[in-house]
Amino acid sequence: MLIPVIIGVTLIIFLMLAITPGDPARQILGAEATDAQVEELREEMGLNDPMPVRYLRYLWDMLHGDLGTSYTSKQPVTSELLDRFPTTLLLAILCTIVGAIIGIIMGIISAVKQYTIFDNFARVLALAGISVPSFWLGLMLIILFSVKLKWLPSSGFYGPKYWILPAITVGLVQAATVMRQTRSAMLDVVRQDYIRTARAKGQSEFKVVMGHALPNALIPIITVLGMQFGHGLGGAVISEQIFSIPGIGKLMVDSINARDYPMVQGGVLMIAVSFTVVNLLVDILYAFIDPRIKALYVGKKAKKEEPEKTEETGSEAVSKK
Amino acid sequence: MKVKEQKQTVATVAAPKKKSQAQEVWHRFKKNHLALLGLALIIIMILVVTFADFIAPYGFDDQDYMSTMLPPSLEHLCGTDNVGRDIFSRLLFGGRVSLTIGIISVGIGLIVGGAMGAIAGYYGGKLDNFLMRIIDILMAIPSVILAISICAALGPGLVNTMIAVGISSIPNYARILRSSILSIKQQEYVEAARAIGASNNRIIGKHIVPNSLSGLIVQASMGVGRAIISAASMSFIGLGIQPPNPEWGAMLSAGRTYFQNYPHMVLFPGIAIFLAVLSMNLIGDGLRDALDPRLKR
Repeated sequence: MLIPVIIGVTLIIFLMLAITPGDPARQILGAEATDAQVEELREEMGLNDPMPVRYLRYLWDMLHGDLGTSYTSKQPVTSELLDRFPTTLLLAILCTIVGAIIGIIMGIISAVKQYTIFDNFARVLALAGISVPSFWLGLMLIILFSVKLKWLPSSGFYGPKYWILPAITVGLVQAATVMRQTRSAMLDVVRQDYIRTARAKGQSEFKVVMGHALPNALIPIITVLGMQFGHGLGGAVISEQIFSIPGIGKLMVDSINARDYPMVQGGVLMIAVSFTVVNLLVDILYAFIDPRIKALYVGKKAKKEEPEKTEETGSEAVSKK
Repeated sequence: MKVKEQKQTVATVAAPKKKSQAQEVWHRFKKNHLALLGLALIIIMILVVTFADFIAPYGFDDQDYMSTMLPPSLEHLCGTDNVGRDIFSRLLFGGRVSLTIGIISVGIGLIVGGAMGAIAGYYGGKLDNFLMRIIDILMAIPSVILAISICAALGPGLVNTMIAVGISSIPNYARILRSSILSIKQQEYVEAARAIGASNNRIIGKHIVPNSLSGLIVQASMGVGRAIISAASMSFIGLGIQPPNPEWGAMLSAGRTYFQNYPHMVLFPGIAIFLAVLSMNLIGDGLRDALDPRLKR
């Protein structure tokens, strides 16, 4: 499933370039170049070939790790992207950790103490969290913690001190989604019979919640966390911009403003690939977390042979009649 | 749409003998105070931006170099910006743009995504497979990135922003409608309709779609909020709406250069976005509980 989707993504990215106004050759040569020079470069770059040929060449180059050359820095797109990737990865991990800790803890308390003041307060807070634009929250936190209180630096990414504000900004917004998901998943689980059984045999409430309820509510929580992490790998575009973090998101925005299309495409492709890989990893993670899913796969293999045989014999019997 | 129209009339029409489904939904919806608050907020916002010409004390592009960067006062409720424009007036006119983008781009996503989901879910087989692979591909790119790259390709502007945000929301609606249609298709009343010889179009239009709308309505109301944020993000990074046109995201972007010394320039546009999105989310939450009482918690 992974490979057809990635090929589809490359096709979309390629088509987007095709409809983009402006001539790449003119872009590279600058405004002073003559028409003849532009035409020569177009021929050299293969821009005059038919679209399918260009697409296949694009795919071929991509398979060899060549995503083109940046118009502005004249560096290979691949190496620039790989340079920036660790920063974005670190930021995504930090944000997801903040989001997971706040979101899961609040979600659990909210579900256990349903309809109490804490629950209502947390729900309104979470609703506010999913409604606030993260980049605006970032600006507000900068005003509070960097400008007024002068506790934290407002831009750059040089050490742990610089990580705090961006991680909290994006993490808080993620926590809201995680909290809503945790709460509803936990509420589903705490109504099950086995929770009542656990309580009936006198298990402490803490053990009931953490030992019996939470593991069974983990699947939707992990799904959301995986999505958030995947989005963080590419979606923190605007937060990176606000905090001047030299990651992939900032590179993309700078490239868009400079009309550096090979860079933009390379960035989109990289984000799409990492997003897809994260989703795949989350799917694999399910099997480790949830014994029911593991059992399903084991069961399928064992069952597969028998029912299929009976079906075959069944249809054979029908056709014989 | 039909359900919404009915819902609006419900409040004014005297209660008939038998309650329609829409009335029951409204009855449950209005018990939810937060949802009602959201509805009231968004109605006020729509009214205010519609009549911005009469309400706004200044024009959205009236520059006054004698009074730049003024803090909020009675004369300028939200202060003025770097060229002396009244931020409150710009918020009102900008709201027009932001809310329009929110609603129209959700419309685009709903129509295209809904049609894809309905066709895929009802006909199944190869067509379903093909359409869902397209959705898979669109979903492989995070929606903000998808919207940004479409907008970068099409170029900035109001219409292109709506198209970009609309396309990026297609997978959401397609998947929701498809999954609810898949379950409704199995119901007995659909079988009954087929048994009495109803055509495919009739079954889809009269039986399946109306019964699978609830999930879509909830998603659409929250989708308006998401679309407003996406559009604002795009304006913020220089795509989307271009100055001097006021749009909440573009206003944030313009204020970004000065925000450390003049926080009011980014404070109010952000609050406007927040309130609009919050009220759509409140409505969405309320609708979800009202449309499906079993989910109420």
